[in-house]
Amino acid sequence: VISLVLVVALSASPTGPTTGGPASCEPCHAKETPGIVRAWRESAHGHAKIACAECHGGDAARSHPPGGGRAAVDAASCRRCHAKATEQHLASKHGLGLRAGTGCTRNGKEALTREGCTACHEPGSTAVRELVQCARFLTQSPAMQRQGCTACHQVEARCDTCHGAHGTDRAVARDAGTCGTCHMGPDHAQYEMWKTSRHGMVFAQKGSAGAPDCATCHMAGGTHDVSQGISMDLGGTPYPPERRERERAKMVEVCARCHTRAFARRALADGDAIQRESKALLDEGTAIVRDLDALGLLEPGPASRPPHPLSGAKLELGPQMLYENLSRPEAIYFRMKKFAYVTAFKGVFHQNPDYAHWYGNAPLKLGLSELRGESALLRRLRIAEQRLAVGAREDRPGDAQDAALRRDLQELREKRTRGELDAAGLDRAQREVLEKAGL
Amino acid sequence: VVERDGAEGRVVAVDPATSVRRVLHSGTGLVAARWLHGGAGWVAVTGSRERRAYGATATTSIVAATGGAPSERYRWTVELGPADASADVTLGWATARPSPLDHRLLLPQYRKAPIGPGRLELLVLDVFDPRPEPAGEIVLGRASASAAWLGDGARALVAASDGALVAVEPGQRTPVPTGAARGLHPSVHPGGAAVFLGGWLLRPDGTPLVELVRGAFEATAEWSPTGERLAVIAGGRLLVFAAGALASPDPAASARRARSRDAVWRLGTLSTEGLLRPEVYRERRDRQRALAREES
Repeated sequence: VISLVLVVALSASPTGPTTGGPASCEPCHAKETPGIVRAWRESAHGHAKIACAECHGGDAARSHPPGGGRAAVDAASCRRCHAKATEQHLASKHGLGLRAGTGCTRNGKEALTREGCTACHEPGSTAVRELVQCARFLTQSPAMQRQGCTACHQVEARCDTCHGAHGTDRAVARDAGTCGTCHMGPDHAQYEMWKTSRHGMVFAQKGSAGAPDCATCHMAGGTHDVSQGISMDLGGTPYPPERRERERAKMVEVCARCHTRAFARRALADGDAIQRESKALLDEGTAIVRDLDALGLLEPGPASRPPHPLSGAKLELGPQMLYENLSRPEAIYFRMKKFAYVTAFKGVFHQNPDYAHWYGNAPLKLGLSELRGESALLRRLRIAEQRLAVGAREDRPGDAQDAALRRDLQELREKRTRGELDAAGLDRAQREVLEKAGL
Repeated sequence: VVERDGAEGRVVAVDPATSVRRVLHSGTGLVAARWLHGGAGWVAVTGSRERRAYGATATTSIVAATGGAPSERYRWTVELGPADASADVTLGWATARPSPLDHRLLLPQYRKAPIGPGRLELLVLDVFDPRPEPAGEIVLGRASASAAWLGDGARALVAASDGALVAVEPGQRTPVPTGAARGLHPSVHPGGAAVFLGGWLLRPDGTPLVELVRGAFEATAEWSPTGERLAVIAGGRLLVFAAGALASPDPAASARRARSRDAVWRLGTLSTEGLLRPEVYRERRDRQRALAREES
C-alpha cells in the first residue's frame, strides 16, 4: 500500500513533464540514447511512470554536465523509495565500497594522524593530488582509477553497480554473473569457485530450484545485507567469537534448507580451520620479510623507493600494501597474502576443493618456500659483499679477533635454519657468544 | 671529498701525503661525505629537489659503506610549501658527524604545517640499523641545522637561526648562554675542552674564550683528532689554528670512547652480515654505550 501511495505521489509530482519528465527528456533521448529510453520504458520504473527527474533531478543543467559527463544517480536517490534495501546495503560490506581500505582519503582520521594533509592534498592547498586519492590508487592513472578501481568500489553509493542504470530486471541483478563482474580473479575468485563447484554445476542444470547461487546464500530472504552469515572481515580475520557465532548461525540456517545442520557446521568449521592454518603460513612469510627489511636486504627497500603515502619510508605488509616498486621477497609475499591465502579458505567456503588446494594451499606453501630460499640467498650475498669489502679499507677492525666469533655465530644461524633453535633460543645463544667475546 | 660534475658526483678518498685518489662511490645528487671509524667505512649524503605546482619535494638520503658495498641506509622526503620551496633542508645531514661513542648520526628533518612555525624533527640514525630513533622536536627558525655531539654521545649542540646555541638530548632542550658569540655550525673539541662557534672559541658551558675570526657567523670548523689544531673555513679562506693551550683530551676518556666505538663497529658488521638478530645488536650496542658513560 505504501509503495502504491508512493508511486502515485511520485507520478503526480509537479516536477513531471516540464522538468525532467518523459515528455521533456524523451524527444531528445529517444534519438540520442534510444537504448536508455527503451530500457526505462520496459522497466518497473517506466511502467509506474517514474519520471527521469525523480532520479536524475529536475535541474536540466546539472543533468547535462559540460563535456558530456554522466548524470549519475547515487544510492541516496534510490533510498527515497527503496529505504529498506538501501539500509541493508549500507550495513553490509558493500556499504564500505570506496572506504574498503583504511588508506582511502575518505577515512581521513587515519590518514591525517599518520601523514598529514599532504598525504592527499597539495601542500598549502585544498587541491587533491590527482594520483593520491587513495593509497590503493597511488600510481594508477585516472582512467585506471575509473575503470579498474571505482567501477567496483563505487558499489557503496551506486545501486546501478548491480542493478544497471535504467533497467530494473531483478533477474539481471541477482544473476551470479553480475556478482562475478567484481568477485572474480586472483584476489577473490568467488564467482569461478562457485561456478565450478558442485553447487554451480547443479545450478547450471536445474537452476535455483536445484542448487544455490550467490544470492541464495548471501542475500537470503532477499536481504541486501550481503555480509550476513560471513564470519570474518575483509582481510580474512575472524570476527570476535560472539559475532562469529551469530553470523555462523545465520549461514547454517541457509545451508539447512538442503543439508543437515551438523553437516553444514562441520563443513564451515573446516573452512575456519583452513583459514587458521593458512594464516600461520602467511605469518611465517611476514616474519621473513620483516627480518630481511631489518637487515637492509630488500632491494628496492622502503628507504630507497617512493615513500608509501601512509606509512612513509617503512615496510608496509598490512591491508595497505601496494604492489609496485616492491623487492622480490615482498612481491612473493604479496601474491601469498592477496591471492593464495585468501583463495585457500574462500575455496573451502565456496565448496571448491581445487581452488582450496591448488590455487590456495599449494601456491601459499610454494610462496613460503620461495621466500625462505630468497632469504637464504640474500643473506649469503650480503656475506659475499662483506668479504669483497668494496670501498673500504682491508684491515677492518675486529676482523682478525672476530674470526672465531663469526664461526660461532654462523653455527647458531645454521641451527636456527635447521629448526634446532627457535627465535628466542637464538637470541639467548647469540648473547652468550657475545658475552664471551666481551661484546 | 665529494667531486661534482653537474648532477653526477663521486665520493673520492685522497691521500694527503701522496695525492693518490681512489673513487669509492659515484651517483647523482651527492652533497657531502665523511669517514667513519677512522676510515673503516664512510657515509655520504645525497640531496635532490623537484619543483611542484605548490612548492617542492625534497629528498635526502644517507649512503654508507661499513665494510661492504655502499648502500642506501635511510631516505627522507619532505613536501615543502611555496614559502619554503628553496629552503636548504640538507645542511644538517651534510654536516652531521658520527657520535663519539657509536657512529650514530643526529639528523634534522624539517616539518612545516601550512600554519605555524616550521620545526625540526631530530632523528638518530645508526648506520648499522635501518630503524632510526626519534629524538624529539625543536623550533630553531631554520629548515636545517648542524649538530655537534658532545663527548658523552648523549647530548648535542645545535644553533638557531640567530646563532644562539641549544643543547639537545632526548626529551630536553637547554639554551646555552654564549655571550656575544653567535654562529651556525658548532664544532666540539674532541676532549670536550671547547666549542667552536661562528669564529669564537667557547668553554663547554658557553662562556666565550676568544674570538679567532671576526664576523665569521657562518664559519665551519674541524678539530684534529688530538684536539691540538683547529681548521676553520670562513669567508672562502682556510685557517689553521694551534690549540695546544686547550686541555688535551683525557687519555682514559678517549680510550673509553674508542673502545665503545670499536665494539659497536664490530657488532654492527656482524649484524649486517646477518649473524646477529637486529634486537640483539641493538641491545648490545646500547650496553656498550651505557658502559662507556658509566665509566665516565
